[in-house]
Amino acid sequence: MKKRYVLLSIALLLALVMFCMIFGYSRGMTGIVVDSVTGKPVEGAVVYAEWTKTKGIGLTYTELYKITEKITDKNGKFRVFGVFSPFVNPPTVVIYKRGYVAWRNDYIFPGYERRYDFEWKNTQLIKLEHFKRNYSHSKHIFFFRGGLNLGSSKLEQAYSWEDPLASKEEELLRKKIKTLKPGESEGRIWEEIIQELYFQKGETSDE
Amino acid sequence: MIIILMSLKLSSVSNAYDNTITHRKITERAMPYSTLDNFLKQNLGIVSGFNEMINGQKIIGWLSNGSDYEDTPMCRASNHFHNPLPLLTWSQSYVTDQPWWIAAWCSDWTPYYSNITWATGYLSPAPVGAKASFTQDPEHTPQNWDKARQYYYEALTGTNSRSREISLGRTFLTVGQIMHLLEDMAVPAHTRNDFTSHLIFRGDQLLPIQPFEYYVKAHPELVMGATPAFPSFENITLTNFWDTDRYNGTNPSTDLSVGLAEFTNANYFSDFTIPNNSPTAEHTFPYPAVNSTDYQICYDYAPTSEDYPWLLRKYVSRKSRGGCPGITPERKADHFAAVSPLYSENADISTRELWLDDNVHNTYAKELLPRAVGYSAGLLNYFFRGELGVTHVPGGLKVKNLSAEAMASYVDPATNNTVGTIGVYYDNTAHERQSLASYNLTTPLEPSQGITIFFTPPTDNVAPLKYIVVFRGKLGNEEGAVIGKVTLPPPVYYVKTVNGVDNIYKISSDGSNGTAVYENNLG
Repeated sequence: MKKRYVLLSIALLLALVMFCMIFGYSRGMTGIVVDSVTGKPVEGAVVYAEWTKTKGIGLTYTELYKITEKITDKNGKFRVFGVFSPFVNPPTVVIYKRGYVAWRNDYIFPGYERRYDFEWKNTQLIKLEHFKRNYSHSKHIFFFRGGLNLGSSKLEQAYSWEDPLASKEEELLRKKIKTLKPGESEGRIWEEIIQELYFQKGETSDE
Repeated sequence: MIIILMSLKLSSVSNAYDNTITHRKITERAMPYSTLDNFLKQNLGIVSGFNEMINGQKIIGWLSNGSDYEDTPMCRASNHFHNPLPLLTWSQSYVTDQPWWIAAWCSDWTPYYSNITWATGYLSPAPVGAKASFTQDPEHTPQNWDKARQYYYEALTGTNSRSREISLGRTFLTVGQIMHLLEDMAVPAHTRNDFTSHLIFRGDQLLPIQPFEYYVKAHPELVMGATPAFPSFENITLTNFWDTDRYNGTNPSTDLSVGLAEFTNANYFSDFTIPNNSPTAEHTFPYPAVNSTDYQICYDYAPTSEDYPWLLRKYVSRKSRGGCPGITPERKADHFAAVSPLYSENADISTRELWLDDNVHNTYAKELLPRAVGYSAGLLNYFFRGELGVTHVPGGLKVKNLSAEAMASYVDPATNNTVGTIGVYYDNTAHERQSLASYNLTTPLEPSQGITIFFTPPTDNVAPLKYIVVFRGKLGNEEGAVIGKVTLPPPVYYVKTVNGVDNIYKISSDGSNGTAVYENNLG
């Protein structure tokens, strides 16, 4: 009798753990995207979520599991459905709207600080920061698309307007990198590129 | 036990935001520094460069995907190791320390190849070295340099427009896979026969990990901050990017003229290949060799000092990086290896047991990632290095070799055929690519030299005067090289009178890019 209770307890515990693992990401996520300055809802932002699975032992690799994309409505609201799999990695979420800095759930642009305040839950409030003149489009694209399997997604299409600007920056980068002294970081070069492309003479990119 | 394991899995999942895909990022980071964007715009008429959508994916996406897929499935990565020491030939320099159960699991993938052979096909240095034949079933063969060249040729010359687009996507996918292989040469464990270090358990992870790779995955900002270090070889060949065969175990070098595998092997430790720790024979390497002359002991905060600010650790530091700095939260000491605090200050450094912690991983990543990015960009440039200049002349096209190397023909040992042709193609009104004329290179076409190919202009050319010129043959020392050039019709010149003054303008045949050639100021 005692043995049966022990086995039953173990089975229940196992079921509980499995339930927690599955439930965590199977439920959806809802939220509202707003302008960080005005607090007004941002309509038409792309909400991109990508799930991966890590496989293998020793030589592990990550495989794409699922991509979900939604567009915020006129109230800035969105709802993303979760996935029902116990061994899927937590999603990478990117929220993008032209004129704003892309929002990622793991890192923050432009400094690449780690984001600790994200939790996969309902009633998210996402504040989109304005894209400043002294930001690089090339670095911005690298930041939010890095590591993602975008294909011909809505996100890939949404940021296409930044490509020609990034392209110009990179053309200058290739020319200027030759002027880099040994051990010097690229900071100076990027400042020059931004100044040259986006500011008039006399204006400074520090503003 | 199962519950504990599952809980650990949960904990690993909750930390897995770190699990960004490093290879994708290194490849994407390399792109802006390569000349690919300009090449595509100027030579293939791909207006948006590497942001062009090809077969449902941007070119940058195909390269990035290739860098990701090369690790799939797991056993493929058994071919991602190369030990550059000359004691082994390249047919022997593959991984040999896998435990029996991994070897058994991956038995379908045997024989294993070294990374350099898997990527380039060469069993000894290019261009004269022999090549592997890869006789296994196609699933277990590499997507390597030769295949990328073949896909590129099909993308330029295939009849069907859809199949050409697929082949172009495959070209970039495959080049991305080759870039991945080269990037792996910036991981010490992959150049020091150290598969064992991929099976290290950390407290917060259920599955074993390779600590250095895991650290880089968790710190993508290091890839972002990596200023590329480009290779500068005396004689550039394909295999030089991996291994120039100059490092012989006695002459470690940090300069940019050595292969990436040589640099990494000779200058960095992996977890089970530290000479001080009495490694096994297959994990024994002559360098780095720490000693009291070139190295010193410095104190610094341990990696977990945010949680335990009082926790200091001793590190072996390279004297070439300066003296021991003050202990600050920025951790400015050179962390070459961590050392037990129990050893006295005066003990001989070469006998101390060492290990690699996250401070050391940070140091290594900051020195290895710039090479990974720079060498990847260099390899991409090398693939697309050939350039043709094409001008319309009466009755045909004048084709000039704009490359820095000669274009020539060679005899393919596999078929005994001579390969070395410049072909002219056009797209007919059914959008099928047709061969129009070709020129066999019986003598090499040296840099800046040109030839004229004569033909009768086709009547069914969908874009009159637009031609695709394709070279396949020997470029410099590389056999099987492919160069493509999409020619545009010559511009139209016209005179326009503005305010009573005649000016000369030119405009592309499609009506775009109108510019003034000569503005008459005499009026």
